[in-house]
Amino acid sequence: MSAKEPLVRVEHLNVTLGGNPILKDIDFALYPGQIHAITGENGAGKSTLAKVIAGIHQPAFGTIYLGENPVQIRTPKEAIRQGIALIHQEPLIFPDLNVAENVFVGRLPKKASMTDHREAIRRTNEILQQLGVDIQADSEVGNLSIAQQQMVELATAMSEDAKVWIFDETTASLTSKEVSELFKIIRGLQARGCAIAMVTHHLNEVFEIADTVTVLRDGAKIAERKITDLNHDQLVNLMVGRDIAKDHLSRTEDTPIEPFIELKNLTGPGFKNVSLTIGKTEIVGIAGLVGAGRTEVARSLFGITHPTAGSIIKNGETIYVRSPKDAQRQGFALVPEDRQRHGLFPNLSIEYNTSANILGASSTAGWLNAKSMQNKSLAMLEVFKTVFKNIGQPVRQLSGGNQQKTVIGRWLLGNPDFLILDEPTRGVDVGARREVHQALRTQADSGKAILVISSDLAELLTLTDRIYVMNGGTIVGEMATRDATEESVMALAFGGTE
Amino acid sequence: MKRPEWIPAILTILVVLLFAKVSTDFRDIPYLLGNTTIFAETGLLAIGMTLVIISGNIDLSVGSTLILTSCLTAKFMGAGVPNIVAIGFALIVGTLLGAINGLLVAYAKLPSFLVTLGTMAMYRGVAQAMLGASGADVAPGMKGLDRAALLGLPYPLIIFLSCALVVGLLLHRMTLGRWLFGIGTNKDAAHYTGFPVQRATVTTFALTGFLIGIAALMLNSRLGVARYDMEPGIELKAITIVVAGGTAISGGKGSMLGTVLSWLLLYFVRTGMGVTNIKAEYQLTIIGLILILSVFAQQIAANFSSNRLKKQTKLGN
Amino acid sequence: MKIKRELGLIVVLVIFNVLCALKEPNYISPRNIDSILLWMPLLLVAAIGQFPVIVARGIDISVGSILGLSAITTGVLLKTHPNLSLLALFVIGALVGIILGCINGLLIAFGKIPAVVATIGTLTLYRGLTFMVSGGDQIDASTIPDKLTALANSGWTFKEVTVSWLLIIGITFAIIAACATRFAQFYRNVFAYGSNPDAAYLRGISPTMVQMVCYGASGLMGGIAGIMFLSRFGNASPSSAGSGFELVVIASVAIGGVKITGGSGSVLGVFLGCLLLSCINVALTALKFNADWQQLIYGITILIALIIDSASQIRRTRSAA
Repeated sequence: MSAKEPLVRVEHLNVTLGGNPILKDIDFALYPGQIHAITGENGAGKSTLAKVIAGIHQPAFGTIYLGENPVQIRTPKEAIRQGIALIHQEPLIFPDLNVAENVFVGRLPKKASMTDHREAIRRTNEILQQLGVDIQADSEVGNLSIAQQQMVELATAMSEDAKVWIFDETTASLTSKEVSELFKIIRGLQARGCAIAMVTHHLNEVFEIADTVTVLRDGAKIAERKITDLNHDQLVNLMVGRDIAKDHLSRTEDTPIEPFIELKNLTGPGFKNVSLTIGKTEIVGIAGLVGAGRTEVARSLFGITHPTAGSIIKNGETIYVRSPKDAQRQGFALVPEDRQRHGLFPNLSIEYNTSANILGASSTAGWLNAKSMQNKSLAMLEVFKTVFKNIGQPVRQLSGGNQQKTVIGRWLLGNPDFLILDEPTRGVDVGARREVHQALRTQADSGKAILVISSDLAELLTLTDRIYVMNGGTIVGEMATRDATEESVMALAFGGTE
Repeated sequence: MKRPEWIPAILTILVVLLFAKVSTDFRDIPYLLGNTTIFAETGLLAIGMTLVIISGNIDLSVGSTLILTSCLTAKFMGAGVPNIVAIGFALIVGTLLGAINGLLVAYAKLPSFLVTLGTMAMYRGVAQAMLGASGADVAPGMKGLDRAALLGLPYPLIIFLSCALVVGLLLHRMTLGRWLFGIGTNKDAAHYTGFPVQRATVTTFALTGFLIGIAALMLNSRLGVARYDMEPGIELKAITIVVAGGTAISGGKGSMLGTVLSWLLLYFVRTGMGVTNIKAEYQLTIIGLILILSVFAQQIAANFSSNRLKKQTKLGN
Repeated sequence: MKIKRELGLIVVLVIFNVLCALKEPNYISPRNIDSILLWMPLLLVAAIGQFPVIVARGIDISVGSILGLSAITTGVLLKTHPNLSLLALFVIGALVGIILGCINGLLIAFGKIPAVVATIGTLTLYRGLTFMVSGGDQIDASTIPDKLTALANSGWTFKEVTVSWLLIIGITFAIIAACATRFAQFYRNVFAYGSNPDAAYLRGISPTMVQMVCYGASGLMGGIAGIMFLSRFGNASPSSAGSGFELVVIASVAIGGVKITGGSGSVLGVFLGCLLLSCINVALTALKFNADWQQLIYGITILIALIIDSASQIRRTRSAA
């Protein structure tokens, strides 16, 4: 390591969000001219670390040093003023404004206290040239591609004269050609003595560009290594490396399985040529990294987006799913990944949330049978051992785990044939997780087909019978769960050499 | 906080006591009952508005829809048409005008306050272009029906209360109502859950239009002539009734009982202002003030409860 | 690219006027041009105030009542102090407007009340104040000093067409606003905020500041429009001064190519929108329609602008997908 002083250093950093500890006692430093990768599984706390340094989240405890000085970075604006730039996964842009205005938003160059657009354009073009990208400074940003919008964000940070650059999963929505262009720019920044942090879970990228790597797991720092001291497998081990109680909840019967749901070369927004089968009484998992296209497949299966090619086959017949309502009619159910945005009605009662899916079944001519709905809800909440005060209280007052149980319960009440769960136990504590898993296995045994998408390998290994692995929008492997190990799945998910 | 309806209920009693001290009219029950006819139309608008606001939208065009329906009905159903035809005509026109709002909001994905601001101007504009400064006479057979009463209860009051009951059941006991609460709370989740978001939105606006159709008939019957400049500011009254009745302006929360109680409160306030000779010009102002204060109170209550929740979760860990 | 809407408006303006002239050969007469030019200034000034509000994803429905209250308050002051200078009159109107606008801003930025609800409430509130201030009495012609009405009646005359001082005031404001939208940092922040409020916050633009200033400015322009109202009409009644004006203002901003869901628009567009509505109004009388058609036209105008916005929005999301 160079003898230079770090540009940014954090000590004993602790962060809690919504009452949950996200980062625990992290020490971390960024040195000039060094590219430092921060990696770990989904939910390990990588992005949170980036956001604390960039002033979006506040630490509950711990100190941030800029050079020698302890500082508090209370707002994103202060971080910018201190020369810290955060490049987001989704570019943070103003679609109606032109490139130069995006770059200089809130601080356009001035001449005689009036904003000087010619100067803004000139300086923007200069920066774009330095970055080596071919964008006109006066074009409207809403009309640019995602990669170009990302370049606008880079140009913004450049114009702010950032010394510390944090890339938060910046490559997730870029093509491989765009990624290599981005890397060229990052090396340029390195040569100019900037300190660079790359939050990523793409191990190839780590090995391609980083000098040092920090591995986080469950909010704690597991290791910091020079990249030359590591190989691919060792890094995977560091990221995953926990002992899992192998209590496999496999199928109880050993009858051969008829395919019930089949996807044939299904192609749609975010995935291509996906073929898979799921039988009744079977729980099938899809593993992969965030952005591998897993959620996109689920959304297309459920009629939220529409496939452009290929087919969905149920019981040997091709079906078309046009809307979630349509999907329900086919006997499908989807427990969505983003519980807050797509699952919960936060201000409405637990009963409402649990029974939202049996309105049709519990009504005659639109007239609801309140008693039966309440009984069914209570019974379902009982199945999952949901903890609540009374069924009329707003669901937002429940813990994350209990909220998730009401959402899963909602869909099970509809008695679907085919249940899709996207990250079923994210943010759910260990005990509740186990209850959810057992309930799912019981459901499968009763004849349902279940598809589980999870970034939590332990979950897939415990719960499923078969695992598909996705990478880059397509399926790259399939294995029986009893033959699978975390390492074998991860190796596929991270991809060999692309 | 769980049942916000007690606020308008208590306020109603206070207002009645207050005015009863000032004016003898407030001790005259038949007068108070008979007078409800002038406020029943507003009540019908508020019933529809309750559904619209619970589903996360707003309808600024209710007043103009009322005017246009009433003018069209009076003009085309002039003389010699059986009452039943006129009634059917008004209900259909009202429903269609409401459905136009609903279609624009649901399918063009435009914010409801902008769409209904446009139709507010347009509907009243059609009435004005059609009639100008003159009025259209209502067919004689349709006049004065509002003065009939059953057991001392004027018909408009009965109609208002029955509509409130029926729509209240629709809202609190039927599927459509459940959908609306969900859509108003979290539109994305409602879509994921398979609620027919667009269809429910159109239905809500159309139903509001249907209720306005009934109100238009009552208005025609009461005034005997339809003009484009009737009932200025009635949309403001309807929104105020709904919001003061505890329905959240941000959607997803509210009740028909609250709207009915709040209607009663505003009826007494309005009558009280009349009998104590508060000038007509100030009456709308007072309604506007009540609206702002109600929304303000809601926002403070919402802040308070979310802060309390935050504290709870902090202590919990 | 952005200029497209403005070019379109110019084309519409030309076609509209040509059609009117074909239908009614006397349409292009000095008298009609005079009325168009006299119709515009009030609208223009208020629309320039409404413009940043809509760019910042808000709406100010109370502007008609602000105009009324400013006109009446000034009129009442004139009764007791008939010798107030022109400048003093405009300062009084502006002050009344700023105060009312800031009340809107407080309710919206700090009270977190949706703009449409807050300003529909203050619409009636300010109207009520108008009655209170005037005691219900009209401000009649004898109260208004000649030097004020002269602003509307005289100006630069070319041949038979008069460009009134009012219009010159209006255009001056428009030019200042056009420069400000381009050269004032704050105004650029309003555009950024309207384009992406979350990103604006992360880049250090304060949402409360943007809202306070926008509604304050809309009030200010409404207040100035109130004085221009006195000048133009020579009298004011507390019930009708500015009543219903909000619809004309919103319609002209909407048709002027300001994206009604926020983030983009230009003062030139607003100017053309005002000009188009003025032409339509004068044409209604010239073509023997009566004034009763106005309201309908405003409504249709707003809806057409909305539908154009919605269509281009949908096209953009399609092309992005």
